[in-house]
Amino acid sequence: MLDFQNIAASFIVLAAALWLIRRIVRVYRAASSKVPTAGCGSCPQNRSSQIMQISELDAQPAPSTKTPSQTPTPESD
Amino acid sequence: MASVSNAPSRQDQSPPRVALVGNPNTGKSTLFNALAGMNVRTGNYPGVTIEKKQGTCDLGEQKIQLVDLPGTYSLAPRSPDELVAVEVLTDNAVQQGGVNLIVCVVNALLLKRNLFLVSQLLELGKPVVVALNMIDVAQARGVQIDVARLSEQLGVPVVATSAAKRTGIDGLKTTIAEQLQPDRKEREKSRILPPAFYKAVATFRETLREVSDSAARSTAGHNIPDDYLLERMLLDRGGEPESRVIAQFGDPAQVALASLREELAAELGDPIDIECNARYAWAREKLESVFTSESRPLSHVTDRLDAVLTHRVAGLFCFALTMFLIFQAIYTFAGWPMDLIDAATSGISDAVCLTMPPGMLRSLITDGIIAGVGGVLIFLPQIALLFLFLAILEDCGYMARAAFLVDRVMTTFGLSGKSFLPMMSSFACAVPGVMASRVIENRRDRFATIMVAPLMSCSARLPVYLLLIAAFIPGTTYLGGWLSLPAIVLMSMYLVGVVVAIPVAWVLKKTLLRGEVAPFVLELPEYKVPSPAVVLSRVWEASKAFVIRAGTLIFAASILIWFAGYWPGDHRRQYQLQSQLEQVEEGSPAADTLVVEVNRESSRLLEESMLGRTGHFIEPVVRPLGWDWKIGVGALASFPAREVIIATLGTIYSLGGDAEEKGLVGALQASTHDDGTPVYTIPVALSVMVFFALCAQCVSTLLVIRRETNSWFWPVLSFSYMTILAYLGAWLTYVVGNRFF
Repeated sequence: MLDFQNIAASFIVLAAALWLIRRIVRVYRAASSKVPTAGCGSCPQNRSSQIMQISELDAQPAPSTKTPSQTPTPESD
Repeated sequence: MASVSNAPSRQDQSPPRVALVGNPNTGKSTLFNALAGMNVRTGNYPGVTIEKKQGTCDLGEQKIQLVDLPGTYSLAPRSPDELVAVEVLTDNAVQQGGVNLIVCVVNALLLKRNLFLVSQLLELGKPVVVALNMIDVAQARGVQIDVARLSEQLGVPVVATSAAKRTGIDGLKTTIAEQLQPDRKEREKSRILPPAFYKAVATFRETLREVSDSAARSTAGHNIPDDYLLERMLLDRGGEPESRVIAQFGDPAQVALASLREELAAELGDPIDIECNARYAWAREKLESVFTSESRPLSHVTDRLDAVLTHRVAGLFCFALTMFLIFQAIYTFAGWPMDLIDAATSGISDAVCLTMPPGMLRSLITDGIIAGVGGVLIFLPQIALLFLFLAILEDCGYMARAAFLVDRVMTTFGLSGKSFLPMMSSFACAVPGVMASRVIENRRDRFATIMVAPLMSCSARLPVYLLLIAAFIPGTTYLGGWLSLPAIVLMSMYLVGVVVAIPVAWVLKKTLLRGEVAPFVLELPEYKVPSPAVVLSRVWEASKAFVIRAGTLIFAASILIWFAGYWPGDHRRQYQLQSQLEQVEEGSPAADTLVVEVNRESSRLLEESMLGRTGHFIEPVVRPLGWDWKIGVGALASFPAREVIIATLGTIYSLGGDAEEKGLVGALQASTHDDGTPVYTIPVALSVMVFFALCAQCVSTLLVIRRETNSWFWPVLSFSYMTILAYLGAWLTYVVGNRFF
């Protein structure tokens, strides 16, 4: 017989299962990519918001730092 | 000559990017925290920062993006990661990106040596600000530095700071803001090496340009690296820039490079000597009249302490004694807070039972969530204490000594002392430990370290050890209570991983990762009184991480394990009996009879559940280890994360009706086989602990190994060898233990 307790408990179990599957997928994807979000997500030493791969820095467009004289074209030197 | 402007382009609205660069252990991360108001990890030993960290800093009207780069003694890239860091600083032609200003953090006490890196940075032509950090320590030692004179000599602004005491930070911000002004006077690149060297660089650039032009006619032209990288190619034989340029430009570049090096060697001598002599001569010249008073001799305290603490025999003894005292203290001081947490979880469980009739939801909350999560949370005080002591050791400078001490031992078995810091990090968590192995340039050494780092007992193993030790190891004390058997067993469990790591590393270095051990150079920092802010921050972060993990992963796992132990089964009779039990007087004969009936019914339901059936299915595999099906299924459920065994056992014994009165420790002690013999004996408890000490029960670690090695081979190897070792170790422990206990 389905009463309130059964329905509520079933819902919680389902939510926990979905959350765990989502977490597994995210951790797996992160490990397969270069983005360092893998590992213990709660680990303060491994927080993705603070830590980036050094290679990611390259991917970001930087504020302009070069003058034409530094641009490596044949005319620059 | 090329020059640089720091003025952002009109189209570019992103904030200017400022990089913090400096020798290891000069306080870059502390300065980063002070500037960005963040709380990244710091430590009083080199190599704490293993990845670039980013933050923003408000300079009043302007915001800047701060980048904290890992410490380096020189801008001579020896690995792809180091090359990327140099490329970022040089705005090289291949990559897109760069920084607008470099803040070079130098240690005021080691100025001459730190100026080696400053000289390289000045050659990049970028705006540079020198942060003269640890000025308070220098002044305390009697070292007086004429900051204005130093700034004049170097030709760049110098700001005296003490990042730890947060002094000079405003001045540094003001200077950074001034240097980022669009109308700032441009600075030319310094030329510190002999003129003949720069002539060779120009010749090399011409050669590459000719190759690039001919390639442009046929396919696509090549980008010529920055002047600084061309310098490095001539200076660093076999370095990463050389490999990159030869791969890009082919034989003509290789031939030109070899020829130019020969010419330089004939004219100036060995390239390494050229650079060292020129840069240190430059540093000496720049430091003339900068020190306005003679420095006092370096700390006698540090020297005296090091005479003992780095001694090959006394040092190892002190290290072992220190670690033992930490384990002993964990037992001594964690008692009452653990009792508080235990009382709190019991109180919550009782409150739920009072307000809710027996049913599925009540069982989920009390037997699943509270028994599972509460069972793990109870170990929070001990985790906090462990991190407190480790943070104190790190911040006072002792950890660097420990790395120095074990270098000799590790070299014998094929690992360098550089492996120590990643392995030490793994005692907290293997994920940052594996990531910390990036400080090891040699690929074979790095992979060997990655393979053994997960053997170190991480904080997730600690609750397992503590639970089983509390239940089965007698609290015998020795030496007037200073030495206790539980502390000895706990330390032994930590040693198991270390002792096993040694032959594993040796085998790897003799087979898959054969090669010479790279030399280990480590700067021993001065001893200092640990900063309470740094220590408490570390404890807070570790405790928070533990609680978050208990509240997320362990919480979800507890719910699913509870469901596996609950379903399938008809629980109506169990609920009926529980209702009757709650209505009779506690301790009466009727209550005793009902307790027996409830436990019998709960036990039957558990045996018939999915968890029970799975446990009985795998029982033949774990029986040789002395385990019953409950331990077996707990170990199986713990493969994603170790702490899950606590939640699993808590749930199993709660569902089975054993843990209600006695708690999990009491339930484990009272657990018996069908024939009435106890399930848990000392050999069984030791066997479980050894299994958990050696087994690769952490998906996160395996995935980070995959990421760091860029291959599935290494995580599969790690999982396989560790699981086999764990099984054999547990079996051996049980068999040998049975002869003694």
